[in-house]
Amino acid sequence: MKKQALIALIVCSIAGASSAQVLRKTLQGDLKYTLEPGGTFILDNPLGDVEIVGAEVADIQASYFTTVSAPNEALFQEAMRQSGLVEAGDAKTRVVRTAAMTTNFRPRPWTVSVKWNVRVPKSASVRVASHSSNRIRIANVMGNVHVTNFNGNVVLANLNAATFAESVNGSIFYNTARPRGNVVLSTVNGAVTATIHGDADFKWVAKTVTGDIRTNLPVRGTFFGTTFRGGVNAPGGPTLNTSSLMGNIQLLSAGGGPTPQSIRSVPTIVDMPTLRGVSQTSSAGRADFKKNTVTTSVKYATSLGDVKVARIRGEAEIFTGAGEVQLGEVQGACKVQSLGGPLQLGEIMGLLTASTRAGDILVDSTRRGGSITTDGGTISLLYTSGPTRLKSGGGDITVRQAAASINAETSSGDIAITIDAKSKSETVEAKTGKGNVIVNVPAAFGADVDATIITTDPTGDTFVSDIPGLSITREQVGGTTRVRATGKINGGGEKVTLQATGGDIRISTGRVGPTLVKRR
Amino acid sequence: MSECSAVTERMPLLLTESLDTVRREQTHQHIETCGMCGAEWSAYKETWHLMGDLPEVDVPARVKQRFLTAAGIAPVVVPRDETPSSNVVPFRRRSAAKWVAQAAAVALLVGGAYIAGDRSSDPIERAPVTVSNGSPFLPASAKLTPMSLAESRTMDAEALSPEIQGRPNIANVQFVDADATDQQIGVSFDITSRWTVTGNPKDKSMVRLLSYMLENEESMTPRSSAMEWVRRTYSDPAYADPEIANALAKVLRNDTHEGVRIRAVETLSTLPPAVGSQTRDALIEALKSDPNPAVRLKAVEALVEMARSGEVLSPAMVDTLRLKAEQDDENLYVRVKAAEALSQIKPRQ
Repeated sequence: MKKQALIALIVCSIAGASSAQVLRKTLQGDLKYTLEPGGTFILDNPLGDVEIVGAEVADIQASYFTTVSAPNEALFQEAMRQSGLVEAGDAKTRVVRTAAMTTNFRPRPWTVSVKWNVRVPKSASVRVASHSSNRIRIANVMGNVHVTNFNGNVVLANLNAATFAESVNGSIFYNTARPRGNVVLSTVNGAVTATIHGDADFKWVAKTVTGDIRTNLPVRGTFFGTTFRGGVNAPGGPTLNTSSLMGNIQLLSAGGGPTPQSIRSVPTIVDMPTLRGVSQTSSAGRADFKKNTVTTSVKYATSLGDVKVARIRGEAEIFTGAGEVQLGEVQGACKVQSLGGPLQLGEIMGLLTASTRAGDILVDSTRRGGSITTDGGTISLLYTSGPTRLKSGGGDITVRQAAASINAETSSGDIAITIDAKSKSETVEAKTGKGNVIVNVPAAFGADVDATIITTDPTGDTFVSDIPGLSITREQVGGTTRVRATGKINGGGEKVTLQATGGDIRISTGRVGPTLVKRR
Repeated sequence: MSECSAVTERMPLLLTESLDTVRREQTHQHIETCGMCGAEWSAYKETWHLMGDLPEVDVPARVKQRFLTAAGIAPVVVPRDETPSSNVVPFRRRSAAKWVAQAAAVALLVGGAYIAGDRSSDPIERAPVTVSNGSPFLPASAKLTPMSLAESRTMDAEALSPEIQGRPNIANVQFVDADATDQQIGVSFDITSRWTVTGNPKDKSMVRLLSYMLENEESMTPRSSAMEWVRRTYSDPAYADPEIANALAKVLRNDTHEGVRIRAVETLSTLPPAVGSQTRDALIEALKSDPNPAVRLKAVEALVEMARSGEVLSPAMVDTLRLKAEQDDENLYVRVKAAEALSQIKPRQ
């Protein structure tokens, strides 16, 4: 016990000593630069807060606070050596750059952040480039303003000319009574809030995928996909362009007028295109739909969100603008449409219609067949007992056990189809723009075969059939060779049409090993 | 059934015409009426003909000595590092005798190639692997000098056994006689033989071989299945190898087969970070410009995982993610995933 206590004491001492060794020092400095009326001040400050305020001054007056943190004296000195201010430009365009800052891109064992308080002539234009800060604030500037940031919020107040602010993970706040130039406020993961006088006239564009668009101003306009285009008050005026991929967008009234309680979601104010007959629709914001068992039919649509339901005892009609769809068992017909994201479907008892614009599709079984389409991705169908059409814009197609006719087409990828062992004959159409076609059939499978290979390498790309009875012809067409195998196998049967460009065609009767399917 | 056994036993005598007239007639009648014995007889005859085609060669003294010793005719000679085997391996009936002959031919060729490689190729400092034709013709314990796979190889006739077993596929034969006076001729040809290389997935030779095959579009059919096999094998951290990762990156960059590129990016994303870090550029390029949305989707998902695991993303990566998140005509799912990756990037304090 004593020993353990001693060890704990030593550990605590070491930890305390090491934390005590972290050196942190703040240095202050002042700068003054001349700037002509209408001139531009450019500040490149990778790490640290920035405050720039327009004032009745003739020169740029800047105070900076450099904070250096390092685990020991040597690294502290290294940080001091590698940091500094770079000044450039002239009285028309003044540039100040803080150098050798630490960002997340190239981590160093020390950090140097610089906090700026700057007063500029009111008529000046301002450009600020930053990576990370808690806040960048620019106010009372009459010239153009341009701010780019990665992490941290951007606050813009009382700016009358053209304004551009862009962030990735930060929110943007804009507060100007009457904008006189076009304004662009754009972020990826943050929110955008613009506060403008209630009687100002301007055009408003708001674009978000997962967030909501809200306002308490009298807007009118329409949605084009996820983008709202409209106007506030009288037609015309500058354009306020607000966009956030993942966050909310708010347009609020300043200077009295509507109360905060009157803020409403824009989709509820203007007409929204809705999916007819959909029992649940999410028009704005991310909306996942996750259930274990649904005892009735399901109709669900969302612009963004995952849909995961283990069992549906009725029909399913699912739409997502972007997201994964996973359905376990569907006892009725199943229609799934995604504009982007993978689909994983289990036992589908009814007719299946599944499509995605990007992503893989895995279907365990479809009893009545159907249509499975992806614009890019692999398709794996483990069992089908109904006529099934499979189409990929690029990716492999695998049908593990087909007890009905199959039509498979991919622009680039291999097609592998295994016919059910009990089938005597099935209609098969398989076509790949680049790749191989492999059809595995029972030994007694009868078919009228028409297989074509289009290739520039006739010795490399070959036709092989385990069942005899086909005659092979070769034809030279331009720079390519067309190898065609036609005839009846096992006395003939349904039509089997295969086409491969730049690949092999095989009709095999060998046993197929178990399918290894990668599930998400 | 017992009659079948008796007939089977008589077949060698029937082949050598050593049976008396009555038994020969009985045997022939049985063979004509019994399907199984008929097939057996056909196999015997085929083997017999194949053996007749083989040239007669002198038995090497060492083999002769071993045979005589085993037969009890010559005294036992025990080498220092060998012990005589007391096991008796019975002759088994093989219905497909042709396969045996072909396997022997492959063994001969592989052995010949081994000797040739030993003489003609440059020494390679790699981990040795076992080369066999399916049934080991060399004991696993035998000490091998590593040989290289080569596009072409030159060897002395002395290094090649005069026996040619089976009917190996030889094509494109050319005769060379550079110097008519030196009493030497050359014959050059392409030969197709099947090789099986076994070894640990970590063996450098195995890694190099697989990397070469991955990068060679035509070597594996269907390639997607082969990629899947590579993914399953090399995503295990115990077997992860940068060379495989680099080969996959090349596939992702250059392969025209979209199904293969999808598998390549999938495989890259499952590699341990230590190995996959060198291939991030390939992921970025794929995200930036691959025409297949599924490839871009998987690339961005891989980058999300990287960011989530706390890996430092390069400025180029961050820029690409940012552009993707803001690209209006990009698939929404890709954009959302790019935003998700960006949201993982936090400043160091």
